[in-house]
Amino acid sequence: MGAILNKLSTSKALKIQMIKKLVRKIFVIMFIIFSFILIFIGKPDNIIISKTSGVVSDVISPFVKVISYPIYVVGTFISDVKNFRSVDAQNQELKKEVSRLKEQLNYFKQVEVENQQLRKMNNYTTNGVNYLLSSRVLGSSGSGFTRTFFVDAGAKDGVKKYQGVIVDGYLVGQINSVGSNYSKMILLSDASSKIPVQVERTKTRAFLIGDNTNYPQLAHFEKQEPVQIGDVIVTSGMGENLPAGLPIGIVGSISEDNGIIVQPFVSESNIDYIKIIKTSHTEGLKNFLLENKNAGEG
Amino acid sequence: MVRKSKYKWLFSFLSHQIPWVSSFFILVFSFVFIPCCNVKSTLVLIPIFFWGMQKTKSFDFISVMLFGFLQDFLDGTQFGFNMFIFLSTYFVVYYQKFFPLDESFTFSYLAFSIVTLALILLKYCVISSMFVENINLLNILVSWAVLILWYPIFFIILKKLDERFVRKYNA
Repeated sequence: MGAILNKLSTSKALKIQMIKKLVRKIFVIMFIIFSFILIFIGKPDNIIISKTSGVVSDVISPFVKVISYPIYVVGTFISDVKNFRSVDAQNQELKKEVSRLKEQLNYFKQVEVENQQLRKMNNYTTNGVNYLLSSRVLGSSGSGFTRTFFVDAGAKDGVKKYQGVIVDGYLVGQINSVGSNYSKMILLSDASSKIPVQVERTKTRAFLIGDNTNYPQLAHFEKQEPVQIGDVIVTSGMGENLPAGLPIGIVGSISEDNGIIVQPFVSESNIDYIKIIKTSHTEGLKNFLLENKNAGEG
Repeated sequence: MVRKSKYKWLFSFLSHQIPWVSSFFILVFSFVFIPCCNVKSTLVLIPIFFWGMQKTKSFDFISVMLFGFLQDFLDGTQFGFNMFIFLSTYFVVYYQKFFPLDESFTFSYLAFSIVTLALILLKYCVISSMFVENINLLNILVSWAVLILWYPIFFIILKKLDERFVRKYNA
């Protein structure tokens, strides 16, 4: 009798276990279907998703910062050792640069005073002034499908979505989502990046489209004008998210199969420190960057 | 005696957390910026595959889904994609009955390579046909190759963690 009862209870327990396993399996399948449906509903530019992405970046970035610290220290040490030999020459160069920048600063102060006087005379008000915010790249994602960087600056520092990101005066990307202390930028080569640009020589407008390779493509031309290898590509200023005239790269190759490929001035693997353009409604930044660049080359 | 059992409870609790803590660490590590090394991969697929293979109770499909959510938000791809890939990987590994994956490294390595390649190609097909036209396939294959290269290193670490802590204190 006892043996029969024991057998019955064992088979009951086995049945319950089997049902539990089946329910679990059904749940997993349901979640797989749910996530597949979510792909078609959840657009990345949705406000809720964008805000949540900012919060998630805020949570994850401190961990990335801690883990990347040893790599950062080792990298800095290696570059310090490499630079040690050229310290003296660099010092001389920097002294020259400082004296040149001092002269430039004096000139800008004079221009600023002159500008203020002229504005007063004409009752002129500006839309805003561009400021550059320096920041460091903390982490990156590049699973073949996206090309994004985590940046050590967020809403508290005045970072906003769609602000341009430059390195050495060249545009490299745009802010994509903002957390309170950290933000995320997409590079020009990201497949979702589409920047309004123009060919500097012909002033022909087009779009620079990323494809997750190091070389984005030029497409959707406003009018049919011949583009040549070596043509400089700059931002067109359309859409008001980016100031006009920021240099991006040169036309590297033209072919029927691959289209017009642009070779960016800045290699993505060398991006370490960046500058975020905090406002972008005037031409002032462009001029400042170009003058600074020309003076540097001179 | 009482003290010993108290510690055992604590160790058991901590060892339960190892699967998701290790997965979280690998997820964060996959985003660490290494200058001059631009090729990245979805490394968190490795712990998902591993803990699914070991049929670890403390790392179930809810955890996998959460990691998918995190990866989706951090990556900025079409929302739900990574969740779909992670859950599919977990499902295939957890419910397959053809090979004893947890016994042989070679089997698991081969299975991981095939499963991830199939799912990444599926992701590529859906993304390139429905959302972004111009994704480069070669880059995706390079990223997958990087993932495959990382697998043995993380496999050894996770195997050690599993043998020394997870199995020992949850037996």
